[in-house]
Amino acid sequence: MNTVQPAVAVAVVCVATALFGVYGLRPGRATSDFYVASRAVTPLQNASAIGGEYLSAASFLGIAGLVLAYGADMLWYGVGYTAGYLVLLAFVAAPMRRSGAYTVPDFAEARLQSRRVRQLASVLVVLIGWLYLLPQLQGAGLTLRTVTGAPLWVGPVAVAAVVMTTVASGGMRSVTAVQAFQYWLKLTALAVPVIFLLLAWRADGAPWPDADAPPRFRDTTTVTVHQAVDVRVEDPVRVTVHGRLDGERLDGERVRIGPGVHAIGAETRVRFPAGADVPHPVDEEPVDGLNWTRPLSGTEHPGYGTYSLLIATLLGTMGLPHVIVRFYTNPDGPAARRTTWTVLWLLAAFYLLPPLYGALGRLYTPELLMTGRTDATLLLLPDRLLGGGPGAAVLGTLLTAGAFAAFLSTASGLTMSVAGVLGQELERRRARRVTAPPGKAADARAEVRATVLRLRLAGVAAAAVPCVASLVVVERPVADVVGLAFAVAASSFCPLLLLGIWWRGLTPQGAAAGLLTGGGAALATVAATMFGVQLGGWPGALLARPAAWTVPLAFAVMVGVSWATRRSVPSGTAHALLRLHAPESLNLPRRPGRSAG
Amino acid sequence: MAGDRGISAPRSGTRKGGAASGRAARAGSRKNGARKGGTPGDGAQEDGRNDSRESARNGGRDGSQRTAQSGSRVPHGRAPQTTAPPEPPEPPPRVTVAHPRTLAARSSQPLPGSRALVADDLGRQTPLGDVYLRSLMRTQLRLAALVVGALGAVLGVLPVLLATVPSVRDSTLAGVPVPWLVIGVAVHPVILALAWVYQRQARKNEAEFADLVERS
Repeated sequence: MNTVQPAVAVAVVCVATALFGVYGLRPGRATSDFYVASRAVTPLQNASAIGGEYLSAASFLGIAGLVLAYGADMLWYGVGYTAGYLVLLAFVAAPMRRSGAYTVPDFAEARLQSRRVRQLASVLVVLIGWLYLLPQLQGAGLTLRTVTGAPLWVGPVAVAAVVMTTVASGGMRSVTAVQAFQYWLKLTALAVPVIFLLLAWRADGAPWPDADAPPRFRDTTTVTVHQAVDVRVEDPVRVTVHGRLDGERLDGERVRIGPGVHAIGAETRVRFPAGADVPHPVDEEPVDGLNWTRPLSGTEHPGYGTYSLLIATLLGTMGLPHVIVRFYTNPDGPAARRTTWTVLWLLAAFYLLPPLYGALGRLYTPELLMTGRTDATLLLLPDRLLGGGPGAAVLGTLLTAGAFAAFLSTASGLTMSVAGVLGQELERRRARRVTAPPGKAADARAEVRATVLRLRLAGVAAAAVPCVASLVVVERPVADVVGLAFAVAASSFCPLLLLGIWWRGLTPQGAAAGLLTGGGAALATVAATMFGVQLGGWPGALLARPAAWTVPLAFAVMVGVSWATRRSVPSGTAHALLRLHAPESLNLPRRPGRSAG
Repeated sequence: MAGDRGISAPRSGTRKGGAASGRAARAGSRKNGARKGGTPGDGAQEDGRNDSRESARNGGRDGSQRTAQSGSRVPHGRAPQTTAPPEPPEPPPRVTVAHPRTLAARSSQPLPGSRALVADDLGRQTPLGDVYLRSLMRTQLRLAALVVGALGAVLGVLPVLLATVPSVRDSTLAGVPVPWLVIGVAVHPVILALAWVYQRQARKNEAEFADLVERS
């Protein structure tokens, strides 16, 4: 593959994003500008920005990769990501906007009048944000290596650098403009190539990989193995190897590899003949074509996995820090609803496309099952299907640009909201130490400058930590890790928001207990998965897809403890609920001195 | 779908009664606030009891105690219990005698000073305002639960249905298996339709609520 064009595309997207971020915003210097674009963004613009921010590496690369590997069940990812917005629309969108706070911790404090719940929520925002940032950065590394051969660390560092520049210089308004643009870039980047790919597929006789057989190479295929892997071969096959095979240095010799386990060294190229079965990593036998095609048969405990995934995505969307903060950029509650309605259209349009790439990938890039890098499906398809002409190069470049737009937009949105929460906590800590007298004009200006500086520092910290982590932690499919972030959000913030908005009986103790239990349990499973704990059977399923048990657990604890401590329902509950639910058109008189800020 | 279930309006028997009770309840709450030095009460329930007790006492003085009990116009039977002490016998309350048409004509325009009374009740969180808020929340929550419940039903049934009914599982349309088309394409219009229903109905509920609050 030509490596210059994609590299240029990546550079253009990065530089354009950074420039937009730095110069897109001049007047925004107040704290509220930094956070939420002064709440004056139109619904379509805001919806595009939400779409741009929400469609991360998991949606752009990850779904296609999972579909390639596991088949029909993975289609539920796209449905869950979209339907999560419907749940958000129904239960949260308008009240959230009316709450008038900037972040979930703000909401928690206004609703429950408890600093402790606020701090707990802040910690969770930061952890969920980092967990979600991790696969974005790893995806960037994988993409850059796939298309240009650069080392794995280049991608994460590039994305983190651009994001820090954007966030530190402009804040949310410039981020809004960039992300609105990036939604349309991502949609174009998926929609245009797929037309040509489908035409090529039809010209190839429109095959469907449903035979009761393991995946096979359709053509003579050269597989580049970057990381050493042990593969199992079922039928003997003659291959040409450049690199190390079973500890032996080979340089273009044709060898016959028999049935059994073979070790392929790092940076080895293996050329397989057409029609050969794709060897698979030792512990990961790929599903055969029939089970791949049929729903509820691609994985272990597929029923539990599917429902747990749906619960995580449906209920987790409302708890994602970068999604929630977007609602504060709407002028009022009804506008927040209109925005969500538009977002649903944008998401539905987008999620039609990734499964097509996944299915085509099953046919034309099955070797990814052998290397385990299924997230690269999208990037390899144009070359494979269109045969490496200039057209394929253009489409590949477009896909690479789209992928980078996905990394950058999601990463900047997440960094922004994590930075916002970190900055607020820093500010509070400082404010508690120094109780400054009510300032003069010069003091106020200095104060604003200090605040913005703190936010910038927080922005750097917010991006730097996951960047370092992405180089250390075990790499897993992008969509899997993002699914875990959804599960954590669903088992912590979802109960907090739903009960906080709709139930009068929620107490600070109940909220804290629920956040600790639900969020803690989900985070523990995440940590176990991240550090490579492998369990088979039911424990493995419960660990890999925790939402189905952690979400009910969190709800039960939150309601139970609130009920047990029902004497300490905060006194401002009625007022807070009035603020959340009364339409803005009423112009209700506010009780003096009891603003929920 | 939920169109016929609008805001349950706490309606008063006569306009006058409504206005009078609103004012009396407010007077009570104002006293309350003054006595407590502006601190919030320990919850609407307690506030409510105080209010009604005081307004009952007010009523005893100005001779309109029957309408002054805010409980008499509170719907859903959630009225705060009146614990007023037994009172001396009263002359029967004065009743306006008028043709229904005259009453109707009068009620179409608010009495002077009665505009945004409920809004005021809401803002001050009198028991009456609380009842209005509860009724709005219940309506909106019912709508949201209905929409999300429908979504849950669709998403809950589909995986099992697609995997277990052989005629669905194994059939193809234009070379693509039907389950793929259902999950990948057909679910999205359902989600959009539900969102449309929700967003229209929620706006209607809020408009009705605002209308109600401003008219009463």
